[in-house]
Amino acid sequence: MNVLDLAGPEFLAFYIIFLIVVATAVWAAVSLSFGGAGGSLIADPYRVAWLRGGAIEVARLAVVSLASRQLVTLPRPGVIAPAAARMPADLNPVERAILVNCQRPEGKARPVLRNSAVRAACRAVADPLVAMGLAPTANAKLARAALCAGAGFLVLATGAAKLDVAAARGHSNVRFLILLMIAAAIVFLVLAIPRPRTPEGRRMLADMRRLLQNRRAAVGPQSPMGETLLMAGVFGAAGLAGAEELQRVYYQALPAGSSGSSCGGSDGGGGCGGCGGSGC
Amino acid sequence: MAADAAVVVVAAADITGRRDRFGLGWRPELAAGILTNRDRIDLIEIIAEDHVDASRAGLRSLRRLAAQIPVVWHGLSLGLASTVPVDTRRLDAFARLVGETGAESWSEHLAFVRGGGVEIGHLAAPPRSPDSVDAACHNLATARRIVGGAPLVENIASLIDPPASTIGEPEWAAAIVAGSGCFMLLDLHNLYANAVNFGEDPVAYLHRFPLERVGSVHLAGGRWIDGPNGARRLLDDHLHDVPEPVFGLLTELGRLTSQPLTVVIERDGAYPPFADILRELTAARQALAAGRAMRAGIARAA
Amino acid sequence: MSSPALEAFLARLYTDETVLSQFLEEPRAVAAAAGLDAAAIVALCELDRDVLVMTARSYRAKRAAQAKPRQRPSRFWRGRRSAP
Repeated sequence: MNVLDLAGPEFLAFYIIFLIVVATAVWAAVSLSFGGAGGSLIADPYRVAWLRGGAIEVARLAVVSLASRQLVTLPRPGVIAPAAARMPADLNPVERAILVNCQRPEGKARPVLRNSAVRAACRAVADPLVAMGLAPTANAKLARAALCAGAGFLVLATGAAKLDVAAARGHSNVRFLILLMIAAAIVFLVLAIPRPRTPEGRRMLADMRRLLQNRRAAVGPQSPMGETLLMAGVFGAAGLAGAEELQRVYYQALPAGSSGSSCGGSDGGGGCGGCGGSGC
Repeated sequence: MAADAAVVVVAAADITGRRDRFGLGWRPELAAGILTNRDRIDLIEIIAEDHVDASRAGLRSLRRLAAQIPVVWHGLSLGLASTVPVDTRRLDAFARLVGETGAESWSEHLAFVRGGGVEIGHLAAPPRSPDSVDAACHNLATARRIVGGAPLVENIASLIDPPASTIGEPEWAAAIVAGSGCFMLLDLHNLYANAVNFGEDPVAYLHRFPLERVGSVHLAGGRWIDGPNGARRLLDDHLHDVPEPVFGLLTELGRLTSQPLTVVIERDGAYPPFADILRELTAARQALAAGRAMRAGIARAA
Repeated sequence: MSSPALEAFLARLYTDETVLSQFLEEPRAVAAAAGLDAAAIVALCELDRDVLVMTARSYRAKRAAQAKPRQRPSRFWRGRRSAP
């Protein structure tokens, strides 16, 4: 049977099912993996932040760290100001890159966090995670993009072929098919976006959250910075529920609506924790 | 149901060749502090009942934790010193937990926790008699068979001297240890509380326990509570700092024993800053080291 | 001597305020009604009553603490029949 010979409504039904099946298969291929008994925990807060939300969450965490040490202030949402002329010797590379690139006396935070040097320092956080299989390699990202492109081409080509057949037969009621093709393109574009973590990385993050579940009682204004940063790395803003000032800094580093596209996406990481919500 | 063949538990008897170790009870409120101070903590002790219903994902997270830091499991609900045979279904759950997480050992209490279908909700001291010694040894043999290794058995604190007791607590514990082949988890605050509550000298009380069979130690704190007609008792509530006399008992234990000891500080609430808990751990190291030094000095003099 | 019957009776004393009150009023009669032997009855009558009350209060407080919401309530403390 040639599906292109199906009548309009029947073809639309087939096309919807075809799109769902192909998209689900692609999602399963890029999001699921089996096995992986898991190594030991990742207790470095920056690495955990990368797993949760990629470079932007690492940068956000660094701002929290700098603010806790009174090296920066955030006088208004989205504005960052270096608070001291000194550059302590023990700064994390991400913290150092942020401090170096801050405008003086103050400037918008978003360009600083997206600065190429800051992003390079953030990406370096992911290198050990890639070696551990918790973050995807460059080849894995390319493979994901290629798979999504191929699947998307298959689905769109099928729709395009039907459009051609419909035109040859003088049928012009193809608006719904065109809408479905646009939706398919969006679906595969979203699936193609690289995630900061592999399925094993997602499991690692879930395990950290499970072990640190009592986040509200875990940190307070007087908590050691190591514990505070670990909770923020794992839970984002929700991990700072007991340290309101630092939670404010976390939110104001990138006010709502400016979190960018490096959150967890659709592979079920439990939410990125950094998009203004506290329900992670 | 027999334990899975994959269950491997290092028996409590295998404590030779190890140095003294110091750890903390794992509590969600302390988790962040423990994970960021792993270099100062040798092991963690996890309450088994909090995880017996763990899902596959929950077990996976516990395995990851055990890969990071040695884990020992601590039970509260088996009632191994009851004259009622232990529920083998509960032991199966323990076996799963211990085996799936690769823990190095497990422990339970010389207590009963239920009777006639009524859950007491905590540990209670059974009447100390030859009957309860025999029953405890039988339950411990069952536990060893199902879980795959014998537990360390812990002395408990009791506000009341159990009725119909014909044996003193240290002698009763020694009889169970001898009859079962188990090692002891000696809770020094429980020992201290029982000693002061029943008019014994804590150091002399310590000497009566089978100290050569002690593998692990618990340290904790408590508070005095008042009852009717001026009655007073020291309650082991795990909500307070370890008192100085208990550190003193740890020093004495270090002086009297030669085998390595695993010391765990228990805290169940009213948590101080984690730095204070680490300071308490340091105090425990110093207390035991002082006892070891005294023993070494005595050995040299001899 | 120790026995399942004695442990069961102690469990009720520690958890059931009504049984405890009745025992404090008439220890011998209440213990005998529970089917305990003579030696157990004598031992129970010799208990320090003030400390028995403190012990029961302590267990009640611990049970109340466990009744608070937990992340994953353990089935192990849900007995077939618990004292009111």
